[in-house]
Amino acid sequence: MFRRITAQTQLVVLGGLRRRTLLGLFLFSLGAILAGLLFVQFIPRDIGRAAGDFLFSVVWVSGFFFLLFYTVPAAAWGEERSFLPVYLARPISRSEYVLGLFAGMALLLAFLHLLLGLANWGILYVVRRGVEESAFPVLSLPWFLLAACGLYLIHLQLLAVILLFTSGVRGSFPILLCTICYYFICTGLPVVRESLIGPGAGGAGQTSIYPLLLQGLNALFPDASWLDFKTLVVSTDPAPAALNVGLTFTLALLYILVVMGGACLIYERRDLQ
Amino acid sequence: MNDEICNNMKNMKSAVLFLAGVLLYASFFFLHERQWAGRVERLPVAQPVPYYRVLAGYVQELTAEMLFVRTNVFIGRATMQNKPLLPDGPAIAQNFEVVTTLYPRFLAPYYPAQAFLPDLSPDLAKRTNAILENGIVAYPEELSLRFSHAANYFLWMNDPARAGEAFAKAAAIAGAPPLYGRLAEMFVSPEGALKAGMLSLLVLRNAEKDPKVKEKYGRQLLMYERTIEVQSAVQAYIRDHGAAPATLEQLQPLYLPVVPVFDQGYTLIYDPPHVSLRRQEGSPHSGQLN
Repeated sequence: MFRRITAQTQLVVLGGLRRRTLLGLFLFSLGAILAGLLFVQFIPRDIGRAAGDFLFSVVWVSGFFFLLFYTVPAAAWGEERSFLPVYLARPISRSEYVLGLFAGMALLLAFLHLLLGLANWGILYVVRRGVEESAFPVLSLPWFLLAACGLYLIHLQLLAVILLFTSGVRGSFPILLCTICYYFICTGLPVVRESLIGPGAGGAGQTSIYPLLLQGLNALFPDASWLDFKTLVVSTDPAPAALNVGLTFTLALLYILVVMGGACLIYERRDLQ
Repeated sequence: MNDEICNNMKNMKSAVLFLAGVLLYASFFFLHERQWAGRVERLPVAQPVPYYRVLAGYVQELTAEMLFVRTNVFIGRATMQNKPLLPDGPAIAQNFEVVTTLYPRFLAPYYPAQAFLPDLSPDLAKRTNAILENGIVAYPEELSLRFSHAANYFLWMNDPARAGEAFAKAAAIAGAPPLYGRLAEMFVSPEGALKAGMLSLLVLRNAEKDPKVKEKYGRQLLMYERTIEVQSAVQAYIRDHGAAPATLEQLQPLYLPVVPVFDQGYTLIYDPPHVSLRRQEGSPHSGQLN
């Protein structure tokens, strides 16, 4: 089974490299970084924070573009270009196909993160040496690695959800729309939860059903800010407890496992005609 | 041969049409630029905070920073061109409110908010203090924010009691210099409040890096110095006559060469024997830094 999944993974990775996806995204990100470094000059008092936020945001946007504009069509190509019956004509099960697809895309994402992560670290190091200490007091490698892992996990969660959508929905454009809706629900839900417990709640937060309902929804649509540690890399912001960080990462991994499990189940039962 | 000539004619016609289209576009472009050159640029109001939280998600901090840069560039351009900031004061305050609510630990916006907003009007001074309160919650031990927050109550909101309270709270922070406690005590009396106001302006001026803002603080310092001169003249009169003068004009010319008259939204108030400098309610200052 692992051999077949590995073979499928290799096909996906080679496909991505052949289309120069990574190269294109890397060059796009580098261009954005160079342009953005001009922007951070407008924030001299807090240049470290601005540079850190900007560089991580570029990685986030690149990963998001990769998922929306490469992964979605590539996963849907299996059906639209009739590759799927060809893959499945060989002795590979549907679950192995999906897992191989996930692993291949995750590897491509990892390469992208690695390349951009190295570039970002270098840029932060150079910027820090060129400014006053008060404008850039801290540059922490452990927090940088943690923030990078957190961001990678956010992308992996989105990747798993995209593959879940491809298992049940036909066509790349509907999957793209579903993914965007999913993203906005994930970002909007914490805002709604906050409004129900905030000072402007007007008593709505006192009724028990809404917070519970939203909590349940949050389990389905996780809050990406749980994995967002980027502000800790370049500042002395209060750090979360190690237990909480461990819990958050474990939760994210379990979410990915459950979603991929769902995708495999649907693929196994689905009529491909 | 004929076909070739026909093709060449067609190609030439297409090229000429294309060129004509480009020239037409270029003409309209320059006309449009000329028409819009004289427009008055206003700072756009930012969207509510939940809008950015939902839309931006992971990049909401970057969004806050971009909003800050937009606002700061607008302020910089207006001050360089000596344009009044007051018409855009509410929009500037609103942008800073959104930035500091979206990203309270982003330190940069608190300083231009303090430098450019509170002297424009008492309402904007109140909003500046609300902005600074976001910073104080995020950085409870950042004394510069607490200093500005406390000073604003007296300098631009005519509220020495609250200024004293705020300075007393700041004095309780570990590592706070003795000046904070001293200022809290000085705000109890009207005479002390004047001197405390002057000291506050001195500190703000020394901490400020923008030369135009420093100059603005300098002009306000001058007003306080002249008011203190008037106070000293009243006290000299009391020593000589045993009672305070009924009006400030009685001090002329022996105790005071001339009773100062202030512009920029401030009035000298004489409530015998106390002299104070009050920001006129509902009297905005244009904020022009010249």
